[in-house]
Amino acid sequence: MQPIFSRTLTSTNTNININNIPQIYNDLYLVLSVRSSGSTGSGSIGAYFSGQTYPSLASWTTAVGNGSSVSSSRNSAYQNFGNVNDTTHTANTFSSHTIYISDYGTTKFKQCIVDSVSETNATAVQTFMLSGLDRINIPVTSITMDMGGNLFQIGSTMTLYGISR
Amino acid sequence: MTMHHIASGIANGSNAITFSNIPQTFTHLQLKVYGRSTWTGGSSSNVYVTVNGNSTTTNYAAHALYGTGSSAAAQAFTSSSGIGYYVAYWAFPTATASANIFGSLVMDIFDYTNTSKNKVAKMLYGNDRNGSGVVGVGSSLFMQTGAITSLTIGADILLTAGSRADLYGITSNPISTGA
Repeated sequence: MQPIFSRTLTSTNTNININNIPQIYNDLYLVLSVRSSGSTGSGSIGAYFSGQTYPSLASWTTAVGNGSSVSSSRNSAYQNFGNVNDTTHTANTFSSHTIYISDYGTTKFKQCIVDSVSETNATAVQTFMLSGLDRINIPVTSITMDMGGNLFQIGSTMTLYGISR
Repeated sequence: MTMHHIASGIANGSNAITFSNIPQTFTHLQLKVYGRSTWTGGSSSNVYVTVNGNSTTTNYAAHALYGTGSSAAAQAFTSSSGIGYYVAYWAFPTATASANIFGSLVMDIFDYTNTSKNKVAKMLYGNDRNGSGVVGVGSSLFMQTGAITSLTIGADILLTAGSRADLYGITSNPISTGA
């Protein structure tokens, strides 16, 4: 497991780009500790691979616990990296996400698994698992993440690792 | 290699496992616990992790999404629940399980040295007891921004002999930034 990219935000950003991803590994592992400027309590990170923004290419299936009940849903749009902490949550608390992208350098469709938690001192919290499919048949050379119109807050961190078999 | 072994601890049935003086040179921590509880009051035990020796109940919250093989549910603890530690809900088998059955817990704590963030633990855990069991994804919140310098691992009553915990540090020095 080799770090490829690491960044800590010193100013707010609308999106985060990881470009020029080396094509020398088998899988990618992305670690995020982030907070949003949003105020809904239910925002999420949207992601695009290799600049492919066509909504019909991505879909996902989730299992979510909210502190008192569980649910599962499907959707299609941009790729989803999990629900995030925002201004409605406990101060100084950042959501934690790990994203595993298998066979990122091949021409197969891209499969990713996500687990994330957006902790706060309240009952209603998103404990989140996701299986995502991005139907692009080109290697993942870049990852673009956004907060759906909100801002990544200062102190948000992201680290991308390459994994070899 | 970016994942470095920091320390290991072994339980003997009468002690908690404590990692102190955790180096402040890594970006993230990963704690792996293989264990079983001495408790006999139920089939699954919580795992508890105290941060920096701080057991003030109002400093912690915890949540879980878990399945038992027949149903799924969610669980929440807020500061008013009075927990006083990170909680991995129903993570380990108890003394009521057959011999040699243990559970596994992997806990990630990102940015553990960052003094501007409360400390969040993200967990994946499970215990299959050959006919019953629990699998879960959990989270816990320690509402203090100081760096993490120690972790103490316990369970309902205690971790039984044969239980162990291993602490790793993960670096993030990149080979290229690509930003």
